[in-house]
Amino acid sequence: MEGTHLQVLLPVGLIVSAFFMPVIFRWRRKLSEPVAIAASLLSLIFSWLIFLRVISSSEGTIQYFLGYSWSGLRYLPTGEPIGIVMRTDLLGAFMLIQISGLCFLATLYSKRYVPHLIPEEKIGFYYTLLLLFTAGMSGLSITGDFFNFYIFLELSGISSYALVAISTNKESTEAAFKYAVIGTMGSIFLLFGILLLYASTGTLNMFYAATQIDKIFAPDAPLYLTHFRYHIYAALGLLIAGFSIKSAFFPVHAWLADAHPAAPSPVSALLSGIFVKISGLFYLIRFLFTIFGAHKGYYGFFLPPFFIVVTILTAIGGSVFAIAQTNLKRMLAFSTIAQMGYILAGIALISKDGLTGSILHIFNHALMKGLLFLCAGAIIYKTGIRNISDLRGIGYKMPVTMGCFTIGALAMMGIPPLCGFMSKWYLLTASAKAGYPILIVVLLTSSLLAAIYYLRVVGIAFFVPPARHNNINKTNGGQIQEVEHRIEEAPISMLIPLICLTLAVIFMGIFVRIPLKVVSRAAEILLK
Amino acid sequence: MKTILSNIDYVVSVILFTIGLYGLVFKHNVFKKLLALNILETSVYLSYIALGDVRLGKITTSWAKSPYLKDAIAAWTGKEIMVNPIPTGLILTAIVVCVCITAFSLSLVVKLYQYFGTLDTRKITALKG
Repeated sequence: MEGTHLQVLLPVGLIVSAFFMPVIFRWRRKLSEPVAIAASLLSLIFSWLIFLRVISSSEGTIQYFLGYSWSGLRYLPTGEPIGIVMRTDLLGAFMLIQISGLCFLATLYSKRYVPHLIPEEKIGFYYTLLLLFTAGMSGLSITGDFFNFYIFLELSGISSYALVAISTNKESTEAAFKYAVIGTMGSIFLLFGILLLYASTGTLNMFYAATQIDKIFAPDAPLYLTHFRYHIYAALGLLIAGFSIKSAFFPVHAWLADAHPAAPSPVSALLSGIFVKISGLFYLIRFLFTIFGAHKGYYGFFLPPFFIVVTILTAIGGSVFAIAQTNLKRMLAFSTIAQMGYILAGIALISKDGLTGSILHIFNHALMKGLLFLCAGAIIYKTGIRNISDLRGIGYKMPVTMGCFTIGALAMMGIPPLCGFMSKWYLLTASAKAGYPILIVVLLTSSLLAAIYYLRVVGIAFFVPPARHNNINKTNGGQIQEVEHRIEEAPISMLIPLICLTLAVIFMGIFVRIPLKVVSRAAEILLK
Repeated sequence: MKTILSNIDYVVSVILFTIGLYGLVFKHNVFKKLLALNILETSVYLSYIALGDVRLGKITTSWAKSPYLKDAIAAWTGKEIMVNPIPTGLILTAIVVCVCITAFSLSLVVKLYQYFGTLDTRKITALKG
């Protein structure tokens, strides 16, 4: 179906607003926050319009030809699309609404959170980077072109490196340096993989490349085409290596555990909630299924065992490391690594059920991990506590924040009415159907380990009394007095995102049919 | 030998890629790591530019023999004599990206030296576990 101008206007509008942000900040300091909130609200509206257009189209994909109106040409005589094509399918549009929704909430949250973290004269640059980051991510989800893919990947990547470093201290500088070097290494692997794809298919359009790969792997392909099969294998290997670095699978996970906790909390929520998936797992799915056609059996039996080994390492390893952490945000980051393993489990099955579970878990994890990081940020904002053992009795001091945290933690463990349970259920049934009992064992073990480290936080927050040594009344014979619990809740602009995400976690668990309808159709389109 | 000589661009590119990866993994100085990163990127750029070299209708390297590439160029220009501009355009953008990352990382190196007083990655360990 014909695309809309919104597909171009969305990233371009965000980039333009990011460009004018320092000017606005220089002109009127107070205006930068409302402008950033307005820009992200506009992007939210645009992405819903794109989503509605995609879901109402019969084939579930829309294509926009950049520059068609003045050239009047869409295809070469060979059938290759000309120029840059923005092609959005249902999965991309589904990611897009998650991105713009979470970015809107994070921008709203930043209004009060950021001034206490970074100096006042830098706030304009924070919003500039945040808008560029949003632009890069939303560009990634709607593009259909390798060139655009690389550009948007680097745009969002560089702005995320800078956002990690923005609270200038020892930890964030070290984390940003590691993140920048390893992230760039991942992008170079991807660039090399794209080179091999371009050399063997002769196009930069993702969907035309898919038809060329079909021709190369056709059983009656002529000899000069079968020659290119080895290039495709090498490209697949390089791209899997690159996406493994980008989505922090186990042996190359260390940058995530450093970078995500070091960023400001709204940025951690975006990085963990959505960026690691849009740049890693979403494009792994896109390349494997839409472009390489892994479900068509071109690559033998190599892919599922490899992915299952990585899944086992990532899901178990991430959870075990999370138990050992003392820092709350660092624990959440390791939990993210474990969840990447879950999502990979669904991809490894190479079936419709597995993909449905994976995409549903991507969505649910965005809600849950966004919620948990924003809660951790609210605690840091109000009390400055970063260590789990210092959280004693904080549940009575900040009841709304810790209530939201508890619901997020329960969803993360997979307690039934909440959304984490639903996606885990679909992943488990899919792996049972595909005949991989080892995955069921791994996913359940990882969930139990998640219960250990999340319940520890909840238990310390609600059931361990706060430190009382100052309140022992010596004149009263050493009797312990009741500690007065004063409620010191985070400001309302930080509580609104928390409550929205908590309601979404509950709602999407009970009414799981609503996202499932979209997700299963998206999986069907991918496996077409 | 003849195959290696006719594909010398790609051979050099792979050697550079290996040097870059080696430096990135095994060198402990922050500057050497950044240098290795740049070598790694240069190797990819070299491959791209060699790929775009379709000179005088005679194809210089075996990878550029893709019939689609040739057909597409022929259909678009009506002749086969040109250098394929797409890889060059892509690499021009990629070089800009690389410059951004290098500049940003160098500014981080300044900060790292201020905080830690060293450029040895084995001693820059504020984050552990």
